[in-house]
Amino acid sequence: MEIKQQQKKNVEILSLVGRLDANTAGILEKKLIPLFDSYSRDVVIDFSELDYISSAGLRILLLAAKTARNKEGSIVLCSMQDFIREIFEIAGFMPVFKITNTLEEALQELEK
Amino acid sequence: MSIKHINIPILLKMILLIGLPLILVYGLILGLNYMSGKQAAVSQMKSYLAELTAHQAARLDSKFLQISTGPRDLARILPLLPINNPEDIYQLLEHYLTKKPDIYGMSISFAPYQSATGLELFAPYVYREEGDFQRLNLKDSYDYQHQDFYQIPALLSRPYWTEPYFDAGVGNALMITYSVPVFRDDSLLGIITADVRIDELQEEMRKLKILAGYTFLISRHGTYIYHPLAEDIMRETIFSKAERYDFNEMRTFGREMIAGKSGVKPFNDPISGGRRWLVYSPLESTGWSFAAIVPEEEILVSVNRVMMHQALIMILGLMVILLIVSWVSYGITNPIRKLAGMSRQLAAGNLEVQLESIKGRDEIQEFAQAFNKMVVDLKHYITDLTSATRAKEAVESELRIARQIQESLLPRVFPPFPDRVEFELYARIIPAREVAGDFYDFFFLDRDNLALVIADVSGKGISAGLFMAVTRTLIKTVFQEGVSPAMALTRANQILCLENDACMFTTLFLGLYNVQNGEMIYANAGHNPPVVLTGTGQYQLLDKMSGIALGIADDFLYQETRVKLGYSDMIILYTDGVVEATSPQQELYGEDRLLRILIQGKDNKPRQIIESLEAEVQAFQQGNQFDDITIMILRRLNQ
Repeated sequence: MEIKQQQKKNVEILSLVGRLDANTAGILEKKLIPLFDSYSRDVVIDFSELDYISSAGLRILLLAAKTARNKEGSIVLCSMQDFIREIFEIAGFMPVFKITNTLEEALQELEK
Repeated sequence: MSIKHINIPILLKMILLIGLPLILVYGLILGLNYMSGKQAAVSQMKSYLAELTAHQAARLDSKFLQISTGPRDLARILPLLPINNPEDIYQLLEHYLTKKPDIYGMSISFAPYQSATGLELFAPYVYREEGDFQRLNLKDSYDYQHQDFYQIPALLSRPYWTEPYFDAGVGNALMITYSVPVFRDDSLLGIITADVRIDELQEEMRKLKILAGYTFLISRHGTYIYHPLAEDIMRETIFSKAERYDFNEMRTFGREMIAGKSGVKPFNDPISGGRRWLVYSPLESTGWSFAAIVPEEEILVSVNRVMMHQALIMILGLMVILLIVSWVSYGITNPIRKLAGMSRQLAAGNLEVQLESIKGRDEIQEFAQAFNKMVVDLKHYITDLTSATRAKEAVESELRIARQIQESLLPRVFPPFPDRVEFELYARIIPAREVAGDFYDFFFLDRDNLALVIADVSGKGISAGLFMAVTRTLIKTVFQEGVSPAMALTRANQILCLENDACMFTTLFLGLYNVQNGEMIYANAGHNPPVVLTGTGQYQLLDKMSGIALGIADDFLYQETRVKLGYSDMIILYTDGVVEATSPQQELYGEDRLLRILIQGKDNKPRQIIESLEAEVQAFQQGNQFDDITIMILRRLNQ
């Protein structure tokens, strides 16, 4: 898996490319969790180029959501392909995360 | 072995690369040297031969010069002497003969009436015979005034050497005569003659060698005075011989020779067919020509000898160079050979090899040091690798133990309830790693109610396995008789959410199946929806009322639903390892393929269905299993 990172108006945008599974979850964890070391960080995770997510990947997202909550930061997931969204739905994770259809919507969501 | 695999040793390469050009250069030098050297040597040889011949000619001539002084002395004093009787004249001649031992005989042939004796013709002659002198008056033998020895010097008014002649009279030998005219008051007094035998000269010439050739002597007229062929002497001239062999070149040479010239002339000899050199030089006094004929190969032998010496020195030099080249390349290749041997040993696993004996400060030695360092590094590396492998093996064996423990947690004996005829059940788990994060479980809460559990813990490996063990125990603890599946999940979730800092979670499907009426009450904590498949191939996904996975939201209230199985209906529970199995082309296995296999095998036993499903999933992902795969199938039977 590859993680593309960019910043827009203090928002950290991570784009996930490839497979997020038990083998690659650690890479995301090392990159994502430290972002919340400072308070009130806004992070968007772009799922548009993600081909697969396993439960290990979901765990990192949960961990990030929890960390964000503790540090008064925000995390928004966006641009999920249908089969990824399905996994979130099955696991009952839809209420846990803020999920938008596009990156623009995610940025707007954070401006609220 | 094909040609390109033949090793050409460095030694041979160096000899070829250095030796061959050297041989070429040497050859060129030798060739050029030979050409110019040959010319120089040949011209040197020419002048040497010319000198040698001139020297021999002069030596021969000196004898005649020395002889001629006697008659000339006598000629000078004779007009002054008051001699009037024959006895005195004879004694005078004897006196001269005694002084000149080379003169065979001497005479004074007086012109008519010129001797003081008063005789008209008087020609006293003294000659040697058996150690004594004999006297005679030539007038008694022949008409001396008409002989060449008398006439020619008289006419020429100067001394004259006659042509050689065979003296059958007194000498009985080949002779020449030196005649000196004597004048008094401008009129001829007489002719003084000195006879010289030339057989001694011939004898001397026989011994004379110019290189390996032969010598000859010709007279003013070209007559052979000496020639190795005795029958030619006095019978042949150089011209008659040239005529006989139609040898024009020799005629030209002959003319030069009788003209008193000297020279060196290479020519092709028509008689022997070989290449010869003619060297000639005149005898000043007699006007003869001394000559030698030398085979050209004799001359070239000495030239070639010089060349051979040069070539020998060059070949020696070349050999020395090749020896040095061999020595140097041996110095280079020997360590390389050693290195190659060491490398082979190293490759065979001997890590104790070290190169000790490579001397010098060059690239080879550098290489040897690098080699030694490599061996040491390799040794360290292998030691590290060995201990790392040992550590890994230790971990792996612990993982194996962990897996065994985990497997022992799951019911593995099938059929699990052999006395129950109301249903048949089979389950299988295929971990992606040694320790799985998936689990299944089934147990009776009471006589008729069977709990069915399938779960997938986030992640895989040890952490997932531990969380799985906790979850499984927890479910078994909270799901007691009288507790509904939803209540059990709600309770288990609250407990799992406590202190869950790592955000581990479990998707879990919990069903309570009544074996008597085929009804199942179930609750779902974010797990893949099980499939209900009827005996006629109708299927249904149990996706209603799914809740969040366990361990995330501590206040979540799970809902429950009912489904009823008819006879021969099956419920298939599985984890996402099945539907998310991925092919090398990154394609997901998916629900559709799962359903197809299930429908295909609907009439088979659960075990067969699971085995064919496993085979297909494994073939689909071609050995790249990313996630644990768990399947459980229950079928209601018509007892």
